[in-house]
Amino acid sequence: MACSGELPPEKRRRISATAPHAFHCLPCPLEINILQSLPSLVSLVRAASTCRRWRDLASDPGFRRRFRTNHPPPVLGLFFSPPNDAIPAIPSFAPVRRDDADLAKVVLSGDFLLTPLYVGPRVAPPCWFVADSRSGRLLLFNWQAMHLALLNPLEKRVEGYFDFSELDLMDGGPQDQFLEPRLICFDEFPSRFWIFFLRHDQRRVQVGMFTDTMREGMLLPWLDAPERPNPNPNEQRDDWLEDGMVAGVFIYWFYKNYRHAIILDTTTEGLRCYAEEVPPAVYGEGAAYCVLGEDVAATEDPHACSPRIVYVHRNMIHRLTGGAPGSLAAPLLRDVVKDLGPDIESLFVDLHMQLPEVGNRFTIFGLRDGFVYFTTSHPVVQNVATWFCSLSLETGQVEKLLCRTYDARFQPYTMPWPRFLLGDPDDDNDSGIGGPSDSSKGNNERRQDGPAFSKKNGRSSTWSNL
Amino acid sequence: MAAPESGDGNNGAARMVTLISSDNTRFEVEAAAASLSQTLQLTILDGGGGGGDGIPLPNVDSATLSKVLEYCIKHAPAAANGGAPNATAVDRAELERFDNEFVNIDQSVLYSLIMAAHNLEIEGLQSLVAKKVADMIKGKSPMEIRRTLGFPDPTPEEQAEMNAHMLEYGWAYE
Repeated sequence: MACSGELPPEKRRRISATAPHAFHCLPCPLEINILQSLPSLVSLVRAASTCRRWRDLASDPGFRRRFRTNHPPPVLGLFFSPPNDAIPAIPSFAPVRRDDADLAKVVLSGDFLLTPLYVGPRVAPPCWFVADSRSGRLLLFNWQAMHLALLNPLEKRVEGYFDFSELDLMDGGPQDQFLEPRLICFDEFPSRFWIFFLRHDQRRVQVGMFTDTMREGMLLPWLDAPERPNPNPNEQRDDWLEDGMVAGVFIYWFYKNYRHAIILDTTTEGLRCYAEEVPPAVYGEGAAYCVLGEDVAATEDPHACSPRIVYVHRNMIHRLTGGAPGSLAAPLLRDVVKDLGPDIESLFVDLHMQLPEVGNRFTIFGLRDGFVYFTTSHPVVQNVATWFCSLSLETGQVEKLLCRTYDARFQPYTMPWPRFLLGDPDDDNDSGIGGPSDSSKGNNERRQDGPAFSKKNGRSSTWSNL
Repeated sequence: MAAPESGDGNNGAARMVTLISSDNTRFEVEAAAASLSQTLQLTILDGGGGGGDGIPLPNVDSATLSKVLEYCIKHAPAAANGGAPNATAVDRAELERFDNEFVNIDQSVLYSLIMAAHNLEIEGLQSLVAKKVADMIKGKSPMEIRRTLGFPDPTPEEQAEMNAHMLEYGWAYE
């Protein structure tokens, strides 16, 4: 322990002369206990702002790990995209837990109207769609203008705009499809980010990326996809891959028939993209769909993260765990997390709606940081009142986030670990501006820094710089 | 001074130990209760504290010690059951009620209790008092927290730091 348990008696006497109960000079372990007992991250931010000492205690990595285990990051709200990506509109934010005055203050301190998309660089038409949201960042895409935007609404930061026209996309064909881009970033490295997108034609896939140090973007070589399912003759576009799912530092794009997956491993030097057969366990039992993501642990050691896969069979939420990092082929353990039946029934009672047939009662949307997000209707069923909920894999607890129509895709937005409590701020300042000197750094150090291939550079502008 | 009443003795002749507070008051208490304190546990296992010897506790005054022992006596049976997997819901609810009542105390008493729980290393009591302080400051702004806990006024440097921090985390100060 860094600080001593006892104050010298003369000092204690002096303090107690002014303050009878010297709570500000408690032994270190007691202060840590008090801060750990706070009910939420918001309370911790307040407490850590009272004095330097508490701030230092709350900035310790061990403290952060323990606090996050007991206090999952609070969901501030959901960002809803426009109904389709050709509508010139900007995503809207729907806050959750509106009765929580603390969270309301946090939301009001940010810019959840996404003002920069209106007043920033003119990207026309302004058809912005939400693609991903992690560690306080919001990734948006605009396929009409072939642009991406990465914003931090809570800290009012514009991390960047990314223009596909700067990439050499000429080797593709007119039938090429772009899937939703995906974001990899971590609370611990607030100035780093890695954006990946995937384009494909009828038999090949290609991964491209933008990062904090490679803002002009980069494309990986094409990869021939094995056993591509026969294209559906009725569909004009050749649509055979699902949108990507992120788990730690890996991204998975499943075939629509769930027999294969394209996997991107971002831990290795130069990236690795490969196809893998999906074991029957993943798509078995007649599960209509599955989602893949990470548990809480993934944020601590993203490199060692093996995917957690969650799927629904009737009302049961199943989970597959185990396997080697980045692989679907290794042995997977199956367990039933929860029977959602009773919860779903009470949700429909809440909505004054009749419980639908088994099988159509709810849709899982995604798995993020140990929480499964699900809704009581499907996005194709519009104009129906819908509950948006989260289920904790750890506790099995269901939380009702908000109720509205499910007429567009959404992304949950959670409050990241605050920058001022990340300790060692040098690590994230613009101290190591890119450059070749970084390549001399040891491999170990780079592994610590998230995906290994890129160099350190922290450039981003605040709202006011626009 | 009479020793605090001990809980139901399990086997009639429970072993007793004597604790001596900083102001020389002697407390006779069951060894099982006193052993909730990690600090005392070793001494007691070594056979100390029995008979006329007594274990001196120079850091704990009699008022605080009697409060601490009240907690230990109440929690000793559950602790003896090894976390009490077979404790009934009623028992647990009763302990919870007791805990809530127990920390409903003046701040100066709470402070002494925190220090005693720390010095005597009584795990359950440590978390209980930490939780109590956390409850006192949750939802409060940094200045309110300072006032609640009787922190001295911020030094000019601290104030400057807070002002700078307030620019970015203004909501935390509302």
